[in-house]
Amino acid sequence: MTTRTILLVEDNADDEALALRALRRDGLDACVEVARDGAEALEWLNARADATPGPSLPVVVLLDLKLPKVGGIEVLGAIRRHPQMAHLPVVVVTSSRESRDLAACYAERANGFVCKPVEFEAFSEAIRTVVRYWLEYNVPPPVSVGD
Amino acid sequence: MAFYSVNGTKRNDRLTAGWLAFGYLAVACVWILMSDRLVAMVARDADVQLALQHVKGVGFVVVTAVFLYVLVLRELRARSAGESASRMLATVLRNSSDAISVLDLGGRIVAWNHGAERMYGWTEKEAEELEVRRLLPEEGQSEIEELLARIRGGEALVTYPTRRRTRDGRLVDVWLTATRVSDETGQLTGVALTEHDVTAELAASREVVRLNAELEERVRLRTRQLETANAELESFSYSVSHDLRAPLRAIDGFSRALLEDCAGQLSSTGQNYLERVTRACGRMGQLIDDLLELSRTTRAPMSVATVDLSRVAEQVASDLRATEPGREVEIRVAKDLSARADPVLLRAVMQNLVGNAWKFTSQKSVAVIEVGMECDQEGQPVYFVRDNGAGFDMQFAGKLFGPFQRLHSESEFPGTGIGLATVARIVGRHGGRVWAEGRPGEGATIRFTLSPEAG
Repeated sequence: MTTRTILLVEDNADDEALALRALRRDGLDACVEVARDGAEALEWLNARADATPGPSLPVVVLLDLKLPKVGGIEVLGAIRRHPQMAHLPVVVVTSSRESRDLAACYAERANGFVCKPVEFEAFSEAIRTVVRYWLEYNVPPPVSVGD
Repeated sequence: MAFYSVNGTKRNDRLTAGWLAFGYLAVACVWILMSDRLVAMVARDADVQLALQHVKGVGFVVVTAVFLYVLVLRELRARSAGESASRMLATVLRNSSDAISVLDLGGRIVAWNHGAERMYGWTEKEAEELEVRRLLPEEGQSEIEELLARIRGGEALVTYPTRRRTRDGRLVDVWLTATRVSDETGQLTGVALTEHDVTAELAASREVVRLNAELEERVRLRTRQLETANAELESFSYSVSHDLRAPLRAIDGFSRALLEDCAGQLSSTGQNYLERVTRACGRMGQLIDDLLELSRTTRAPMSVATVDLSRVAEQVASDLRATEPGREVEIRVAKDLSARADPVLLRAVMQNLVGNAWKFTSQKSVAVIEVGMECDQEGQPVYFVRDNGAGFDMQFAGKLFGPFQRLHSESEFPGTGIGLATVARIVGRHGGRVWAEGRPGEGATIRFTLSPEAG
């Protein structure tokens, strides 16, 4: 079995460190890749999606919304427009509770929307639960599925 | 060159006069022929006949004289009355402030009143020689010909706005009324023009149009400014929601990491400090959430509906019971309370008010919260939430509804001081008002209305 990956798109180094800490302590069977802005995330994803055969796509993308260069919603849109990634699981993890963000994310077919809690315990719990769900319980779509 | 009405005899009058004269001729001839025979039949004597002839002749002359007198007198009276009426009319026309003139069918000016003198600058005398084109602006030189054509075509009254040029070259806006002028036989002889100066009215209406446009422009500008301000406020609260939470999470997260990973190297005082740091982070997080909620209640679009307030209050109460199942609180919600309000915002009001009552009764052994409705003098509904909790001093009643205003210490009753400000803002958006009554240690009552008529 090849190592499965999770892509964390997060520009805030503190949030990145806290998320990695939360995931590390859970002993997950996956490695975490980190992209620090939207452009980097898309570059990384596109390289994997276009390579055949090549390293597989991540199990889930944890996507922040407020990102430098290319914003989270634009990243989500680009992912959905790519034929190989139309069904790639993307969970938006953000500090924003604005209803327009919520609407925009679901309009771009996000698989989930999580508000980052301020308290660390709650934050860790949220990250761990989301990742565990996609890693352990969710059955991914068949490879042939794609627009 | 004057305004005298022509008292002409019409065709009918001539006919009447003709018939009268003919009748008189007939009666007189018959009388002359018949009366002599009558005299001859009545008297045989020549002297008596002569005397009767004299009486008859004198009587006839007297009767004719009386008729003549009556007729001439009537005619003279009628003429003098007509003349004085004509003079009166002429005076009115001559002195009218409107410019009144009469043109003959060739377009020559044949009458010119004082109003025309004042408006256009030519005297009555000068107007006799005046070319009518001098009065017309450059762009309307054919106006009078067209007008005469219409009058000749049978139109009795022509009226339209136009312009005139004065002696000194100014242009005057006038409202023109043209009527037919005809002679005693009904033959068209000219056209009477009444020109009313509407320069001032036009200027006023142009001013109204200009002011309206200016007002609309100002409203547009103000709307743009407000939209900009709103957009700024929105991006501000967006930044608050996103950017202020991130550093807080870092402070809280790394404090916890420190507590967990380096507990052995920290003294109990150090650990206590770190716990205080994380507690402060929690409060700050709550403060940000409450502030955002306050800003949302101001910006969110409203849709008013009939809301079952009793049900909303019961739901809020059961939520509160679920958060603290150990507490014994009696919550009395009046039956069938309904309100016209935005359902989401009204729920926020009840969450804050019943939530406050729940919080401030926490130190009472028997806590009672009451939700109900009264009517004010005008019969408008006044809703209230009453508790028997900590209460407050009425001298601070005015401070209750401002953001961050607190009457109790954080250790006594936790809170951010934004809840009642949110309530006040929501009630205000519905056009109602909110006020509070209380006594320290004896509880508080918050009352609110939801429509501008009440309270």
